[in-house]
Amino acid sequence: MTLTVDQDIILKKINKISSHQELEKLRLEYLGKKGLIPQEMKLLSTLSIDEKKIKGQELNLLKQSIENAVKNQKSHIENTEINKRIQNEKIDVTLSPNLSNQGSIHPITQSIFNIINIFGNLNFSVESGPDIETDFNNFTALNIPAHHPAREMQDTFYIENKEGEKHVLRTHTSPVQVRTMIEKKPPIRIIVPGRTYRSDSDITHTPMFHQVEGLVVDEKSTMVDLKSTLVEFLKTYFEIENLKYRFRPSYFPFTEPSAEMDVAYTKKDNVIKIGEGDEWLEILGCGMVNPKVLENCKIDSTKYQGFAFGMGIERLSMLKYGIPDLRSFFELNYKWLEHYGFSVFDINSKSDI
Amino acid sequence: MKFTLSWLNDHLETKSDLNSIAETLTKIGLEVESVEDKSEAYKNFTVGKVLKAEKHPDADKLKVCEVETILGKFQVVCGAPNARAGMLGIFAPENSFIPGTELHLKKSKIRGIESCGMLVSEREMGISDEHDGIIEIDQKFKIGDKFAEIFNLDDPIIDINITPNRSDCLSVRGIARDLAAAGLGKLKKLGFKNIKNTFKSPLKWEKNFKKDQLNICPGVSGRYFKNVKNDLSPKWLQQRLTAIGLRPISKLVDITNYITHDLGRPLHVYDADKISGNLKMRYAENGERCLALNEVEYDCSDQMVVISDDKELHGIGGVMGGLNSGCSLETKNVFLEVALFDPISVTKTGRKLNLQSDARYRFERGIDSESIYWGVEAASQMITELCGGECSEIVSTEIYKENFEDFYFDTDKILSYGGIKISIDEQIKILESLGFKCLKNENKLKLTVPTYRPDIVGEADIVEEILRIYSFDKIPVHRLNLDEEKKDILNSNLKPYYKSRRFIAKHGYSEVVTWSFMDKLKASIIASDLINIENPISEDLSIMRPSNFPNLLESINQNKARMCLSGKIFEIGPNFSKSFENYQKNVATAIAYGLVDEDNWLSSKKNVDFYSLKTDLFQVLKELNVPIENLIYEDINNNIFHPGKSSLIKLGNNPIANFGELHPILLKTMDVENEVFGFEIFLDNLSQFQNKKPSTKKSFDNNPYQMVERDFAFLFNKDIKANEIINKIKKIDKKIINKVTIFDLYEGDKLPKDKKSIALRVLLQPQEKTFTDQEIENISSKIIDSIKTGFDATLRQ
Repeated sequence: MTLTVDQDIILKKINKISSHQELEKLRLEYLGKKGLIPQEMKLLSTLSIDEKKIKGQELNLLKQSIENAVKNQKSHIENTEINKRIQNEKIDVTLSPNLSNQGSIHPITQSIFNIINIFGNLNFSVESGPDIETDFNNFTALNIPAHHPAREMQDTFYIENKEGEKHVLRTHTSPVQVRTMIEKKPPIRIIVPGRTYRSDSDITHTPMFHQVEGLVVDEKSTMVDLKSTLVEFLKTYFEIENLKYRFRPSYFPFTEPSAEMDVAYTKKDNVIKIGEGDEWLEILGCGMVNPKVLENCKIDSTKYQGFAFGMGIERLSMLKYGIPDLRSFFELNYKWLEHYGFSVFDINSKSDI
Repeated sequence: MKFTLSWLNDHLETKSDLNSIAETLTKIGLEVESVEDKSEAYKNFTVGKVLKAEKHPDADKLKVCEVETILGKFQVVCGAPNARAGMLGIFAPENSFIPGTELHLKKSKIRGIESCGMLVSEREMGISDEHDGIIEIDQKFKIGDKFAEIFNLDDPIIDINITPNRSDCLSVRGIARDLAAAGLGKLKKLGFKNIKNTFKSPLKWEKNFKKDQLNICPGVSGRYFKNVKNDLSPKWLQQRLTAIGLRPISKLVDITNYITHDLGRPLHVYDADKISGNLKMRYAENGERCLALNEVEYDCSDQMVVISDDKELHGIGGVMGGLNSGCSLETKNVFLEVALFDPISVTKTGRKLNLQSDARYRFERGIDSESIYWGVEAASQMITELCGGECSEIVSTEIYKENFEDFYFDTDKILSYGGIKISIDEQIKILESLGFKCLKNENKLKLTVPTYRPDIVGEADIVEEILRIYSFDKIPVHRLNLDEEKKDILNSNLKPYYKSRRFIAKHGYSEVVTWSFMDKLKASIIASDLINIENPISEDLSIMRPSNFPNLLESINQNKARMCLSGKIFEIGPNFSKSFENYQKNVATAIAYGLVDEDNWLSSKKNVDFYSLKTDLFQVLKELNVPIENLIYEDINNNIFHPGKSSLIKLGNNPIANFGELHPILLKTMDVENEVFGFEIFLDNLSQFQNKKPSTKKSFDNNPYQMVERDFAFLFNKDIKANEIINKIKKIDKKIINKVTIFDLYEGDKLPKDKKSIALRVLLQPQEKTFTDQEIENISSKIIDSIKTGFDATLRQ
């Protein structure tokens, strides 16, 4: 006995069907209880064992291929229906999205984060201190005696009606050096970003600004370490390996020897390019901690030595981010914040991730 | 400090050019601010010969000249009375820039006659006010000779920034000495002619100070000059003074100014005929007045050193001389002052009188104590050379000398401090070239500091002197050795201060930075105990801000004009009060107002409100590890927040934040017309939550049993607080009750006026096996009972 049906014909029939109803009808015709395959199955019992085995296998294969064909055709019909349905589903993809404000980090903070990360990698930790300082911490301990012309270098805001010692708005972050040295034992290796104040207000001066201070006190740090640390910082901060700089003698009452660092720049079409050229921009002041300052902070200057440095964060930010106007940092212009602000996720890592 | 190259060359024998001099100055710590080379600006102006000078046909006072120049012959119309045939003048070709008038010279017709170029006056060249005629040049010069060379204007002017410690370099002599030390040439010897005295001085110097005040005016010395002629100074002197920005006045005045800048030795000369009796240095009496050379009368007080004769004050010591005895062109007899003053005393006087001068600038930084001797000689030589006359013997008070002790310098300090090796011989060479006397004793040097270096007090100063002359450039840069133990970069006190910024910005807030100060009126509305600035920039920046809301609120109206009607901004910074430790607290302050999203076709058109702000705040707190489920709510009673729509949240006694709608009166004061919501997080109180490290997290409890959700709705009295309901339910079984959510809230028409309906969803988490229906039933009725009895609520079916 051979199969009374031709598999090819059946499969072709299935593949031609385009509706679920017809497909179901056909499925029942072949696979339903009274369908062709079950009917044929019933006949198997009339056959010899060998024939039953062969015929049985054939029937099972046929059943499977019909089932597969029905399943595939079902999916095919569905897809055809979907395609038909979405044919007319069109929207204006050019309509604007709702880009609500993402929030941003101020360039001064971005610079501070940057500075903290660079010095953090050089084993510095961050310290802080109050904005309202004693005259002693801000001046006297730093070897700036009363009536010394060096005090005229910084016009100071004084706080009214303080009982006892005179208080000032700190004119630099250096008083935190004093606080740290008095409270902690060497080795000390800190940076201090913070707000500072001088009574000056014009195009290039604001009564409040930001500085970052650095202090290292141990038994062995030298001018070589000072220069190396700062060169490393500037190269990393400005992301310029061949940074052209100058390290020249200067004067600060709290350091001896004292130095200032300049970086070279060129100006073309009002755009400043850092790191090369013949013009110089002063970037920071530094020096070996004056032994008198160590002694004022109860540190034995015959045993310990170290270096200190300070720089203006606004200036560093202006140079790195191309911000031309100092005063704009402190104005509450939302457009400016949108323009110069940084994404929360712009974390300025070396890998940029 | 300004000087010219030729002036420097008076003291320094050098073959170095301008560039390497400028470079070296900066390298040794005398930072060059600018180098001005006028020969460039004057390069077009040359000697021309007037061949013909005929009257202008249409103007009586004008002449038509033919001028022969290096560029050829030109016709020039000239109004100068001294223009005449045969003279030599200075010719400016057309298109040149005339420095005195700051105009570009154009070819023109003057009364119908063409004029090409011009013959210039001194004023037109910017070298004096002389404009009565054109410049006449000596016949020894040739056509084409350069104007700048003839007038010595090709002398470059160098301006350097002198740090307050280097008083010795407030003189050309000191600068030359430093350059010589740096190897740029040889310092020329300074010798003064011994001027013979021919008569006895009719005036004497006196001083009157107590024994313990001897340092206030250690001494004064001088001399009497008679029959001097005080007319205008010679050209070379006038030019030098003009070059550094001083106005030449008369020989005597110019000499004092010149010696001040040349040798760093301030002097004063009195018209001796206007002095009655001897001159005396003393403290002023309160209320004494001195009419100074700048024609201002100053009120002196008893801490100020003054110079007086028998009748009146003739000067303020170390600051400025008096007008009445000042030298004029008629002065015949002169009395000289060469004095020493205490720097602090001069500083105090100058500051109190708000009077600056070249003399004060030098005295307060400290001058060479020996100059009381050589200063008289330098002045005598110059006065007799330029003004003639005769001079008396030198008259002095007693001169008090402070003892400066020699000290030892350990030459190993260069290595241990500077980090580089410089041989002892090299060190000695540098120090000697700077004027130190060195006595070598093994590896130590016994040093005598020159009297013109009062800034040198210890070994660190000597390290700087040696290193700066040796050159800071030779200090090498090495690879940093970071073998030390790594510490935390940020301690837990500082973490919230820095980390909160990204957390807040993430919720759509833009960070701003505003002044730590604010307006007094606005501040007094929100707080008492204000901290005043004694010397503010202006009244609206005179108070240390007690809260940062007013500063942030300023932004609202400012940005309206930029069409920004919504905003979310924040600032991290200090607030100030006398009651705070160290007078300050660090606070994260934020405000939000207007639409929650961009106003376009997609906008939800919803405004920021109390609960959207609360959402932002709580997300930030959660990110700062604050256990927000344990927060306690307290009312705020101040003028910043709306009393019914705000809260203080605390953990135990620790205030964490204030938040809510800002007080309408505060907004009115700030001219803000819309509602504004804000929060302030007290960052200093969050340090306790910052020690969590990832490795200390509890292991994740992956409970496999099926969770169950049950919903309940209750009718509550209106004043019942949501968090109290939630806390009550949670307390029933902290393990099983995983989460309680309020998913619906209704108050309105369909309910009694004093009631509200709250629908709660409770998520139950079985602990050891899946719940049975009975267990769920049990816990549900526990919840219902607890709410019913606890809040007098009824279950809604």
